[in-house]
Amino acid sequence: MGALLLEATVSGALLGLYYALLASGFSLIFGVTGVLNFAHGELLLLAAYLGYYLWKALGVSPLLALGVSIPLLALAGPPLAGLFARVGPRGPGFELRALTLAFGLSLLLQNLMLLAFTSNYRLITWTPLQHGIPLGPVVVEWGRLLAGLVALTSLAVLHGLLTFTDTGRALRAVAQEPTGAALLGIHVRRVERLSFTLGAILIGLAGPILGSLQYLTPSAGISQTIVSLTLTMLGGAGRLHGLLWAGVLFGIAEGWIVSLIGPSWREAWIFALLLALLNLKRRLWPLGVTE
Amino acid sequence: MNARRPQRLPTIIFLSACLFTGRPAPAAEPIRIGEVVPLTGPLAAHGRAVHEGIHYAVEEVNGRGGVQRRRVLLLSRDDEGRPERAITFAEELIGRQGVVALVGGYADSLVGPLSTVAERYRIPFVAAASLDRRLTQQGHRYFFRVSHLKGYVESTVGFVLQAAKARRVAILFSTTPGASQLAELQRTALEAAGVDVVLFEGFTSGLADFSPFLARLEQSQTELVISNTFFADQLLMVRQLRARQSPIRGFLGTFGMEFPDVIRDLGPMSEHLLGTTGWEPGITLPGTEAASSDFVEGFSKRFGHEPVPLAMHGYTAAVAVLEAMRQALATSDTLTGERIREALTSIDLTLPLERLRFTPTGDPRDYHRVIIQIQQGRHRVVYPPGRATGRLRYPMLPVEGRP
Repeated sequence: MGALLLEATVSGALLGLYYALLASGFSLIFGVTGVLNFAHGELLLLAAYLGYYLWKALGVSPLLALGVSIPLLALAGPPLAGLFARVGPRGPGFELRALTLAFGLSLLLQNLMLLAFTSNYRLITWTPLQHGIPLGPVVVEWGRLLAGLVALTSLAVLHGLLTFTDTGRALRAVAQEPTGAALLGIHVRRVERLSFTLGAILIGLAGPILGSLQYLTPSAGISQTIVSLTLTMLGGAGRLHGLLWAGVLFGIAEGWIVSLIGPSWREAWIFALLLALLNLKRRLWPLGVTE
Repeated sequence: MNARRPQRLPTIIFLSACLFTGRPAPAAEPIRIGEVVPLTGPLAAHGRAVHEGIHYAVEEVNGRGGVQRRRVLLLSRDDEGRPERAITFAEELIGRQGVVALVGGYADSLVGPLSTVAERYRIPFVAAASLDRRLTQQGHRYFFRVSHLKGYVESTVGFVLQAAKARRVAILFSTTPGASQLAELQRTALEAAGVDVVLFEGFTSGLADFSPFLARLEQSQTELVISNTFFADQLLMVRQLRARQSPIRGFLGTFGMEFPDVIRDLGPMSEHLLGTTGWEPGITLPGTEAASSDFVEGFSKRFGHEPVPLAMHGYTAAVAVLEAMRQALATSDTLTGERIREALTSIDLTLPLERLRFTPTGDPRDYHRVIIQIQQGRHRVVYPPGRATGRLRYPMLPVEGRP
């Protein structure tokens, strides 16, 4: 039993780190602009498909594919911000209008991907990532170890950017109080545009890794969006520490439930656990928007 | 009065000429049949395969001059994998388009509602892929299907007992009605034969990491895994199973292992994996080799790729409908749902997938599957012995290049 739980904890924690990276773009955009980007999963899939076709056509590894997916997705950030800016200024009804647009965008992207990539399942099977490494009684796949390390490094860099640079301070100021930030001379629209670009960069980072961990199909985006939304709710919008802990907790909970109870109860138990944690969190401290 | 007679004469002569000179009658209306399949959404890959098979069967019959010299018009609708869309489209096809039969359907969650609509409007529906036992036990007279759980149970259980001779087996299954019923039947049959079913687990699709579950499988000292799960889950599980150099001796995937994607995506990791198939290029019902080759050749020319097994299921379902229409039209000019249904109950065709005859409840009488194994990147039939084209490799060997 001990070995089983150890394996579930290690693999769950690695998966959780990746979940945190996956959710970080969603969380950042929501924290700064108030937009619940329900097209997050589809954008992630676009980056994943890019990684897949680079690997399939040119044999490019998912790690090298990041060099293409990150700048390409970064280019998509400002137009995306411009699109959401068209739903009007923040205020009554903004969230609903933005949500409707995001849903529409999600459906549009899903159908475009279906036309472009067909509904066939795709997986990046770059051989070096598929080897298992025995760590005592635990066997870890290289791909999952690498995904965890990339996630941890990326989130550390993002944390540094948000904490130690003027740009980061501006992002946090707009997230906390946009009107106050504007009074201090911060160009709110520009900062919101920047948050979309940063969010898109994080999506570009997570996408090719997703393509090597899970099967891709145009309709798979919704489950990634749900994971991102859940972790954002649990960790707090824009709170990187919170997101990291929420991701790891989520991953370990999933591993333990699959290991001890079985995979059929995975979703029910995880969401019961999340509801309990959210309730506990609400009692202990209110939901914040930034760290 | 008399002055009018000369004016009538030319009209009478013209009409008589028309009547007796054999002027061709207007062309007969095409026969309309409806198809409802998931062409987009999560089941699109499977739905498209079924669609191509049906499409091919209709083109084939039209190429031969139609059914009793009447062209067949196939009206396709995409249910997107959503039951409510399937119902709407079935009603539209029957009510507005006037189709005389329905064909297609993939997954019981979509086939079930379609069978209810067909029953309500007394229009026969032949499903290409359906397993849920309840669908043929609810007294629907207009529902038929070309697949059956029995073929899966007989092949998988027979293989475990006679070929692999495994004593400790794990059964995994998707929590869909068909897969759950299949797993239950497998467990009952295996336990009755003295096999220890050490793990019996349902799956909801979308698990990202199988390592904790695989560790549990290994701890239970499972010899052979029977996986009745969703295709993508199965492949991800196999990849992790092979990566960790698991001591499990065999992996038998009931659904989807026959798809070319398995070998293409998993490469050397797919070596020695086991699966089931009813038909595929090169594996056909004995005696139908020529028909099977013609189908593969014609299909490949038409669609630019080889047919997958589900395409043959779609083809078989469509051929059943077309043949029933031919028989109905042979005795009467009026084609009704009831007449097609009657013809379907007595149909007897030998097709590459199976000898097609239906039971009174609409199930196929003869639906068999064989066990295939991937050997050097190709499928070999390893069970039953009478249809074997290769020798079983069991236990499966570690992936080449691994310690």
